[in-house]
Amino acid sequence: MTGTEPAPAGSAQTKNMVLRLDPVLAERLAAVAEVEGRTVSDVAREAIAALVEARRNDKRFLRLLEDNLARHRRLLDLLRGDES
Amino acid sequence: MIGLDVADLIVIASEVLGCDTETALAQADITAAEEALAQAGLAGASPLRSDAAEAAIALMDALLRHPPFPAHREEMAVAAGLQFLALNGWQANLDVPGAVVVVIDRLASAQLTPAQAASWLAARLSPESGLHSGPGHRRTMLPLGSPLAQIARAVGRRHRRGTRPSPLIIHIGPGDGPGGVITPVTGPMAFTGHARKALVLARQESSRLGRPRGPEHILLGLVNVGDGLGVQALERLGVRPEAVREQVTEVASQAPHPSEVGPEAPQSLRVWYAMVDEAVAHGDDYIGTEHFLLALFCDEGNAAARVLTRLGASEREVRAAVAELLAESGRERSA
Repeated sequence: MTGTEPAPAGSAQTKNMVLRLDPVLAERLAAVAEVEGRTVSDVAREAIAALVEARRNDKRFLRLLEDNLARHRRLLDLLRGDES
Repeated sequence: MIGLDVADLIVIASEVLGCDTETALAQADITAAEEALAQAGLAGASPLRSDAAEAAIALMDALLRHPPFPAHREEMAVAAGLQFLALNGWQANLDVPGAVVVVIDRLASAQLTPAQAASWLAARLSPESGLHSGPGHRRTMLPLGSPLAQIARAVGRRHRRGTRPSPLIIHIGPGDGPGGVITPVTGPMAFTGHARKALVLARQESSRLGRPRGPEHILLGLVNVGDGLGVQALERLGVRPEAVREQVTEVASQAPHPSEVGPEAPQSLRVWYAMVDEAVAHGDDYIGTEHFLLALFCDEGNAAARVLTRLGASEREVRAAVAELLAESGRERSA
């Protein structure tokens, strides 16, 4: 489940996230957090953001996505209208 | 096959929603995204499912049930499914968007099983490398015991055995029944009398010209029937049957002669699927001549679409004419 929590001063609103992690991965995450003196959720959020950023630099992924969205624009508009 | 992960969904969402990835990430229900990917079996580098259509539908189905962006549930499910297909070298030919909306709605409400939807989608996939009745128009009920109903029951039995349903079965037999099509999404859909006659005439035209039945022969069959909503729409646009015959003959004479003459040209299959999709998009449970006419535009490159456009009846104009006729005959349509 996710939910919102009050935004710290000077930052954007954040959300609580529950992540199911492999035990080994969770342990490593906890270790990184402890070494760096940060919370596990901070490290997890940063990791996801880094993954997203990496994907944004994947040119093939983006080209296919743009082609797909352009080709099926009418369909996606219809689905959007269907949901609103 | 290449799977998707949470980061992929965030990037897809940022494009679909028109926002940056940070905003998309902040709005995402990550737990739902994880659950959806786990249900679809695509998490990680080696997805378990080997069939592209089944895997894409599994992903869409999972995203409909565990939406990371609930306000954009269907849009995101379809966008992610299309991206998954593209990443794995497949292009979806979704020529009739209105039909896709119906399929997705039915999948979301469990009126359609993932296997049925996958069968529907599989018929509309091509390798990326390839790019790479007006008055008197009635619904025809399918009589019990007709050949079509027997096929429907056979298909139903196959469904129960868990085998993949056939994407399209066409029946235009010589018997008394109306004939029709059966698809996993629609079940049996009977032809109207005019539609059945048009198909018989199309078959005669292709035999006469010594070619497999293609979209241009379906167009000839349509105008040769002389009545029905499809013909009325062409009449309204000032397209004369003689002009269609002349143009089709000219186009056919320029086309290379096929080395082997089968019953159906490859381009026809796409028209058949589009024809069913047009009926689905219009909320009809039968196939009429108007569905034939609209389906001819599924591929702008086919001879029938070229002939009609050359004669001043482009897809947009034909759609408008059909919509007018339907409105005049009291049938409100949304597609």
